[in-house]
Amino acid sequence: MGREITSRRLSLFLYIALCGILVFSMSPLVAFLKIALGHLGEINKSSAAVGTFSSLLRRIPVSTILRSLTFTLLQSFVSTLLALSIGLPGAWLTARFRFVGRKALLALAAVPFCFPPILVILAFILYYGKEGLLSSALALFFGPRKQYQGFLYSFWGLVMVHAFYNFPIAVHQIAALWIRIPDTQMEAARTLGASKLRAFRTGTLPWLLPGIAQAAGLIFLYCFFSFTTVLVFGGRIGTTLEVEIYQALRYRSDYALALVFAVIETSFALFGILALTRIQGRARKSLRDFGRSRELAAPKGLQSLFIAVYGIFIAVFFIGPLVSIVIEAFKVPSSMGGTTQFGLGNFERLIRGFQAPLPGAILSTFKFSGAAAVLATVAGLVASLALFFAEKSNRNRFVPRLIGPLQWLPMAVSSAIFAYGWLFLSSNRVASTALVAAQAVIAWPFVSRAVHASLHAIDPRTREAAKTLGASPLRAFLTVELRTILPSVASAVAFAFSITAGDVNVPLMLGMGEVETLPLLLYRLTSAYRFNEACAAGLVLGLITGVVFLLKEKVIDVA
Amino acid sequence: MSLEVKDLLVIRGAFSLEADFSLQSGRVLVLLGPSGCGKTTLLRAIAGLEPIQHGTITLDGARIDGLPTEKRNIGFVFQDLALFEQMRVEDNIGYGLSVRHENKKHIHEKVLFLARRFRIEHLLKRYPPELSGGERQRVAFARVIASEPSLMLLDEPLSALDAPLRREMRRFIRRQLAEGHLTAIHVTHDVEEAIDLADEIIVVRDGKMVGRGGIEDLEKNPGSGWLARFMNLGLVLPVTKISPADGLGPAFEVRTIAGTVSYASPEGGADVSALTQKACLYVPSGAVASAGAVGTAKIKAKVVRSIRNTLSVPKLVLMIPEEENYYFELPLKGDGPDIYQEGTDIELSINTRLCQLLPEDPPLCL
Repeated sequence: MGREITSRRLSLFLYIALCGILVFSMSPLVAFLKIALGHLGEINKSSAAVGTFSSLLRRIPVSTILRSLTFTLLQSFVSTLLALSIGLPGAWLTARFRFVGRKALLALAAVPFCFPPILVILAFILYYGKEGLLSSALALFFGPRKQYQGFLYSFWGLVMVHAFYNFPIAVHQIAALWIRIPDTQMEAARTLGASKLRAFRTGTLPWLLPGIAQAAGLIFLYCFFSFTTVLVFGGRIGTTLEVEIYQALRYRSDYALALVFAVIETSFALFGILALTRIQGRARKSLRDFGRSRELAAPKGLQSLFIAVYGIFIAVFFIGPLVSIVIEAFKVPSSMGGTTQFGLGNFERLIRGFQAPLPGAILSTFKFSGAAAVLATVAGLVASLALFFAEKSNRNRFVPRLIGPLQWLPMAVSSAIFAYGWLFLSSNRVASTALVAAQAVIAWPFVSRAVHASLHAIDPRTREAAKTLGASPLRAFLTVELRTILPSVASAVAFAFSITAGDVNVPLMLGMGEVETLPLLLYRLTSAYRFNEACAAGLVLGLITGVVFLLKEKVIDVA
Repeated sequence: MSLEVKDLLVIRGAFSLEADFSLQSGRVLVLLGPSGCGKTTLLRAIAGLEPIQHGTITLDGARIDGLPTEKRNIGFVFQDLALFEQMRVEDNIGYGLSVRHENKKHIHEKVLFLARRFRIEHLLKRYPPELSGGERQRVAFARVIASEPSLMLLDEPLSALDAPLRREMRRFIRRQLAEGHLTAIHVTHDVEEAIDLADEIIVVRDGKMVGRGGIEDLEKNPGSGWLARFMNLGLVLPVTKISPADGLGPAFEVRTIAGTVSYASPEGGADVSALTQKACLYVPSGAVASAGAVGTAKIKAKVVRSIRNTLSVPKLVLMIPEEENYYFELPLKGDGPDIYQEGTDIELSINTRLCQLLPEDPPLCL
């Protein structure tokens, strides 16, 4: 009897949670759809065309869509390929050898998460640009290159920025798998007469491929939805679907066209996500099949040389741009063509100068990102618990089937659609509410996935042990499961804060005038070519997200 | 093919392994020792999977220590079997032949022949994850045999199996090795397995070879109390005092924790005067008679368990009351009297002429 009541309560909780998450995630999409289709109706009336969706299809600039789609796919593909080529050697080195800087190389995986794209863009401009640090350094050796126009604002510039921004993901994800793949199958192949290469193909590659495919899938999706980088570097050579959506919304107010772009974008993304989830399943199986990590070896001879060369390559081409942010933040340009000095002038101007934007931006960032992180945590926590209980009860298959795909929604739908959806819901007035809600919708699946994974990592025998010692199911849950997942909840909050604090897409899409967050300030200063002040603001933003991320990695995750 | 390992040294961090032995063609050598003693490292060094500091490895008169693994023609059965999970059973077995670019028809015929011989014909189209533990063992063994190796190295391939299957696979392996006249080294920490498979045993401890020979040789002369205890060869009693006995001849009074024994140094036993380190008295199983029998010394013991059934050799599990963590097994001759109730204190008569006074730890080098 008691069991039945508990079961009924559980089901009730599951359905309420599910409704809440559905409303929270889907309402902006429904709102956008309603406005976009309504907008379509108005156009149709005025042009006396047939008021159906087919009229929209006729109005669609097919060549623009095809051009944009081709460009999106091509740049994502090439960027992924380049990121993998840079990341694979790093993954091999970190999975096999013990060397100075190994942990730092793995820690670079945090960069895409704690340094917002806008900051990395700024870093690349300052480093690779015509007047950049690298160009200046090269000029010292090879003399000034008058014809050099820089390559950043080209297809290859865009691809390179994407590759360098995302290669640490490849290093981290592939190394995590590689370090666990035992050598025995490769050794077995060698004892059977296979050469080193063939033995690798037989004994290691089949296990490694899911890891490579998983990293490639993630990087491809990130590049597919890339917005700020394409907006800055891709202007002359092409636009992605995400940028087209932004332009249709911001400059043409053509919601129907934005919807068409979004539908195409989401269709492709869903296809990618489906493939990715399958690959992830295989990668997780590989991880489960193998036990503990291998012991790292000390590099010898050519291996040491390769490590040194790779280290220099990463330092010059990847860490260099990030260091340039710090240098430029403290470089105070002279107004009368005098010598440049180093000091805190840029920070002073941002704090005490005209409009003193920095304190306000810091405050807004904390206010909005904090609120979004809290909201995302609540939604993520509820979703993960609902999913976990539904899986555990093994009777309710509806909840997992719905929450599973919902978790991928932010990776499949343009953030512009979420942002505008919330804007429409708040009757076009309260942009700050839309900002918080849209960012929370984007961040909650990260929280949910992290908490869900940690719930699954709990050994069910500990709960059973608590029950055999007399604890009720609720007490067993509170004392064993909840206590175990608390660090991962805290970690998820920190992660949600990091990604929302660094997000420039949503505030930029909403075109918010009344508030200015740090990423928005950074974007504004960069657009105004006030690079040194932008670097100062970027350094503050990087420090905030970096410290939060470090806190998550070093304190909470370790706990 | 005969194997000769000479003056071999392998260093892995703080651990070092030394080996020097030879193995005649068609014989099975078992490397026996506790976990972490260096048995697997020795196999890996012979296969070329572990770099060696110095020494030579010669297979049928030809040095192979300078060759890469794939050129040594050595068959290695790994502890986890290392089957290629993404390949069908037939491709696993034929792998060694396909890397040598043998023609497909020949590969197919050979795979089929081996599959019949190993009774896995019905599994050829399956993948390794679909096989049972015993089937996986057979596939791994067939895969190695297919390449016609000059030497077989078996690294505890039975450790993951349950007891009945383990016993079955032991017999299977022994039969296959004998039928193929294969030279093999088998690694295990299980004494029963070693006795079952070996023509010759080498006992390894802390990277050193501390015992060598057939099981009878080792039983007769274990060389150290540690080895006798590890292989459960008999009763090993820590010695507390050795003093010259009154009377004639080179006799000693050896005081052990379980009683005092009058001891005359026999052939094969250590020179008493040379025992500078901790000593122990080794009493082979054959030197122990049950209570009531006539003997020259009596040892106090307690019956922990009396095993008498039709499935195994009747035996007593005994403990010395003064040393609670030391148990030893005593085979019973015939049914034995009914006094061996669990918990009963008994006295064992021992034939001191068969006893040996040995150092507790094995000498550093054999």
